[in-house]
Amino acid sequence: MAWHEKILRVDLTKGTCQAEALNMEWAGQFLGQRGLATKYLSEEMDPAADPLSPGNVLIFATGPLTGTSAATGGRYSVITKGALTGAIACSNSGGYWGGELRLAGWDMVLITGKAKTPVYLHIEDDKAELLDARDFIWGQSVWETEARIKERHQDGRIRIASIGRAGEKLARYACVINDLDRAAGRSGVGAVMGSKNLKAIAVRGTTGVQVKNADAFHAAVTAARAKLDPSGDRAGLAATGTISMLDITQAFGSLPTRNNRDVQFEGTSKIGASAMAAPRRSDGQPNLINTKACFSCTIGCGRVVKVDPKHFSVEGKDRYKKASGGLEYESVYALGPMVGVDDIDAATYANYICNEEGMDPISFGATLAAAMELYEIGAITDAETDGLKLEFGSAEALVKAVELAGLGEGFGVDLGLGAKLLCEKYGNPDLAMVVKGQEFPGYDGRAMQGMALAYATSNRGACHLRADPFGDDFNGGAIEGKAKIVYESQNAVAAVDSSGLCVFPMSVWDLSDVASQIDAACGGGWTAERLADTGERIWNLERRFNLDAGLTGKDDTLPKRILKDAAKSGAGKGKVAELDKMLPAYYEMRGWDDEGVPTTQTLQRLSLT
Amino acid sequence: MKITVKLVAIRPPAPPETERVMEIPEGATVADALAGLGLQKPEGHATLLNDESVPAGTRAATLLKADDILTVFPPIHGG
Repeated sequence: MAWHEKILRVDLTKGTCQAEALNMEWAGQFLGQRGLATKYLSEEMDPAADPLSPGNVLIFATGPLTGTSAATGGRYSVITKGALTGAIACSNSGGYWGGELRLAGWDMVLITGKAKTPVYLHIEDDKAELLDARDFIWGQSVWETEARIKERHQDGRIRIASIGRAGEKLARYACVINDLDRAAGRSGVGAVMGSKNLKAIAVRGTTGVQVKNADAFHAAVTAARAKLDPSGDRAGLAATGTISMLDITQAFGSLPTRNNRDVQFEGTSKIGASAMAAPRRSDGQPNLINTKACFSCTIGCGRVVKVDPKHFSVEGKDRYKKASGGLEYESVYALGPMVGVDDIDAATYANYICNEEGMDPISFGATLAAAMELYEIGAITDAETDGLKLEFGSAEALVKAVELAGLGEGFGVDLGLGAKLLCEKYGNPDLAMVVKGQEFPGYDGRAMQGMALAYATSNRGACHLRADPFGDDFNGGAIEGKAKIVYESQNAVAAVDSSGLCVFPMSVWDLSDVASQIDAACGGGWTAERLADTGERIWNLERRFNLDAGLTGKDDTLPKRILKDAAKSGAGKGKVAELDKMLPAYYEMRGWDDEGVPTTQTLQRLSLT
Repeated sequence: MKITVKLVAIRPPAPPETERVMEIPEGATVADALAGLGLQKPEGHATLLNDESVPAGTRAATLLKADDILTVFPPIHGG
């Protein structure tokens, strides 16, 4: 139990929706969500297929704890071959959509093929149908799509995951947005959805999730909450959200600034947690007006904000003067320091547009930063930008650029390429701050060497959420210890990402807290050790997908700027990322050969042969 | 002698001042200063001395000098 043991298979080419049994042998090996969907993906598609072709497979997957009362048990992931990277993509989202899918009785939605004309998938408990999206929601933003679907089906409690116009126009970093502002954000999963002519998945569930041993599950959930709820980490996230990280990376000197040319930003105090909470001059109101939590979450790190109604970005645009999802650390880094902008309202507005049109704000901001550097050196000129002055620090440029990218118009088409293709197009590939084609999150690998290794080896490209080197990096841990920390935390995170839980409680929990909840919900003898083994199996399965897709060990690298140019200030001053010292130890620990290929012995140990 | 202490993103309950000048005796170490800040679980925080990391294991042996800047923050996880 806990798994419904049921997946929904949607063939867009044929226009069919069919229920089928979940492969429970695979569930025992790969748990759910990220791991189990990666197994399905590996079996269902040719990894070498073009990610934007009908041959790509798109999976919306929950974990066995999604939709339960386990704290943070509302997560789902979108697994596919990434449009941005050509590598395995697994983008994890919160909100309420994942829980609703489980309440409707499904573990997973597996989507193949391509619809002849735009459609959306409507799920109401065990009934699923493809409906025409033309002259209805195709061509509309995420926000308008949600409103129209709720109105048509006369149900305000329908949960919707959809793409905006960026996804329809195949912007490489288009994402899937659910519940208006929660994102399966990375690697271009929204572009894959757009390539299939699938606009949205609307779900309404009225059943529930059965656990194997209700008393044991209640006890395990209660014990885990007794650790999490009173903790300082939970209180901190609730009070200031993730954005308090901005003050830390600024102090530490690991805050990517102006396309990673700098690692500290002089305008941090204008866009950080304090600025968010401070009353502004124009109307005496702060940017932050409330907080919110996802399904079954006891943390509540989400921010609800309002842009200054007198700010130039919202002049004459009433829909942006309402409360909506606010900046988090990653979005404020990318829409602030990375582009040199210290205007919290401009960054908040840009974040709104990313939500409204379905774009990953990390990739958008980092791509704009690359474009700004290309503009500064003259590789991009006013001729390409239609006169838009793409200057670092320009809030006006940020606002205009995000509008163009969201709609896929003018220079926004180039911005939709992502940093890698943009910098290649304009003759300066080294200016793309990417790994495997995916733009950097908000940590510079020169001060944070463990993060450098985590970025380089992440299966989905540069990512801060595929490993947990934070504590050791911030504590100045030695290079020699980084490989083990990254290896072990990558395995642990892969397991948590497969459970239905959020990774945020893991600053307080360990794998035994996760295992006790899974075991009570599902049975079958889940322990911390088994979860770690499962995580390692998942990591290697993802690696094998990437190798079959054509990636090699040479893709486990970092931009030249991070490897060759010493950081100018902070804890990493005078240092470069010492990847050459860390990577061989990491490969050895993983049981991979010198080329980064899992050995036969490793695959046998993990039952992957 | 005097040093400057900067408290960054301290989790609740946090001391009221984010920056203060602290009087410390000759021979005081980073560990001594950290212990005197009124933090819950001071040992669980990360420290920078004049922008250089001071790992937990070396704090008791790291001497402070006048006008040093000690930055203290929780090593929180990303999001």
